[in-house]
Amino acid sequence: MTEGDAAPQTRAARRRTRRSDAASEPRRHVRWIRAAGDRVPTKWFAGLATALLLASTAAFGGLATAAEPGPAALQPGDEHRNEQFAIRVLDARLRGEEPDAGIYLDDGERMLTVRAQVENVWTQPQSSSNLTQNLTVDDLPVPDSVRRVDDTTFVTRLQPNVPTEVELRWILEEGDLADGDVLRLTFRDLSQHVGSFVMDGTWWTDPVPAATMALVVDDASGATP
Amino acid sequence: MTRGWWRRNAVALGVIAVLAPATAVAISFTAWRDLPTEHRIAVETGEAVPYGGAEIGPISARFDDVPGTPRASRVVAVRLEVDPEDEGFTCAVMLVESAAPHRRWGPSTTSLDRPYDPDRVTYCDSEHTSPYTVEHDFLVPDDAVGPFELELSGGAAREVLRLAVSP
Amino acid sequence: MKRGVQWTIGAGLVVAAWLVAAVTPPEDAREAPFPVRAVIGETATGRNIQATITSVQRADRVSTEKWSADGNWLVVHLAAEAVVSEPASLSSATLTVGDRTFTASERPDSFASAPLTVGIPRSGSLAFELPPDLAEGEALLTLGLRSDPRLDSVIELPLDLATLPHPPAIALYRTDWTHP
Repeated sequence: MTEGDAAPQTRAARRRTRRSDAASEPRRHVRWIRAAGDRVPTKWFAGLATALLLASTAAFGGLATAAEPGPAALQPGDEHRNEQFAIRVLDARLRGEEPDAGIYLDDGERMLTVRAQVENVWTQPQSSSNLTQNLTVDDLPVPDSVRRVDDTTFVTRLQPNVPTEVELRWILEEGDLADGDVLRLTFRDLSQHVGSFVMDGTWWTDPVPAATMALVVDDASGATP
Repeated sequence: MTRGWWRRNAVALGVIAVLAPATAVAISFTAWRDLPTEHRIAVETGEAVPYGGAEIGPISARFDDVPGTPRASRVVAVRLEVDPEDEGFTCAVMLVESAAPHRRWGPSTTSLDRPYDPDRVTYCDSEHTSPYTVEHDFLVPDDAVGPFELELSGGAAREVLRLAVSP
Repeated sequence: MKRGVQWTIGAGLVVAAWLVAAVTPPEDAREAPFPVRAVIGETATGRNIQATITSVQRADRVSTEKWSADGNWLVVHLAAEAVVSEPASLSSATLTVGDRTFTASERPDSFASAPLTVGIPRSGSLAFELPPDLAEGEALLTLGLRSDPRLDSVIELPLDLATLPHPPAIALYRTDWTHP
């Protein structure tokens, strides 16, 4: 403000004088706090706090990451439920050509089917690729197809809360798997990611193994090698 | 903002008042000019024009009644002369109503039950290098009386050819 | 300005800000589809889709010439055409009940994803497979040309599941011209 140096005191200046008056005369009942405060060794606070922190960390197990409990081991018929699906794997079978079930093979091929009862527990229809992200078999790629057991149609979408029996199918060469071989299945939990700002939509990412299952293959193709 | 402030900054404010809208206009104009546009080439009946390396036209059309089509509909059979001038020529066609609301139909040639004719060419076949006649069928409702335009696209980059035709 | 006036103006602005926030449409409203309300038996017309829903029923069994299945089915018989341009197809058919969304089942041959012709209607049926325990509630049937419905017309039909006719079995119509 360039004008009025000789103008009457502004409100701000009046407030300043009032405050400094108060500071120079501490009231009697707070004086002992001040005196006690002066006695505390503030220089030692940092050291004391660090020592306390290290001691409590050591008491709780140290700075190393705690071992997380491993994924649960399930039995055939047990249900694994996450935010996307409730899956109950039933069996794994090696099969030969079965036109009634929609299985057509060339010579020297076998079909591996893993049968499961699946319910989409989310609020939107989900595709079969969502299912195969949740249920994987070690050493095998993504299934060649996923079909419903009742009418052998391809699973395009699983509707919410409609339980369905499905088969994950792989076409294998004869000899790749035999009766009694053990498949290791992994059930994974994914997290929902909602697009924001420049991205739109909802998708599932970040698979985390949540459970495993050892499943014995039953050769039902009638042709034991 | 006292009166003194306005006076002192009058020149600067005047410059902003001119430059700010001018910048907005310049940026909008550049963006508008750079928008991908289609060049529409209109062709009168009976004419032929070069397009996409070939000579296209003339065009003719007639209403046809093909068995198996639904009630209250008919077929617009369009014949177009194409001279590919020794280079393969392909195109995508749509039939467009000239009057509002400018409805557009895609070819229904494959779904119509015409008797098989091996000499009939029903699409812009790039294997042909000498002049040929291509026939396209469009299934339209009875209230589509024309006139129409046959829209060819895909020949040259961003050029759309419109040939006026009245069955 | 006096203190009282300052406080009043401040409070007034806070109230005004609250009102503006309350009235502002949600983030996705700017790309929302344009709904066209339909009534059973009457034609509803959107930008490029026109549909006449002739009936909505529930059934315990649906069938086509070559397929059948038991379940909690909801069947829609309808006729539809494109209005201004091709290509167009009925790529979006959804039923929303509460917070769950169901899409027309692709198990049978149905009108789902059928091509639409400008000006010439086709007829067919849609079948929705619902959870076994879903028998009542408000539902909304939405029909559109694209699975991503943003910024285009969609045809909406509100339904009350409990009041729908419920025959034991329904045969789905084959997709064909409405007036062959």
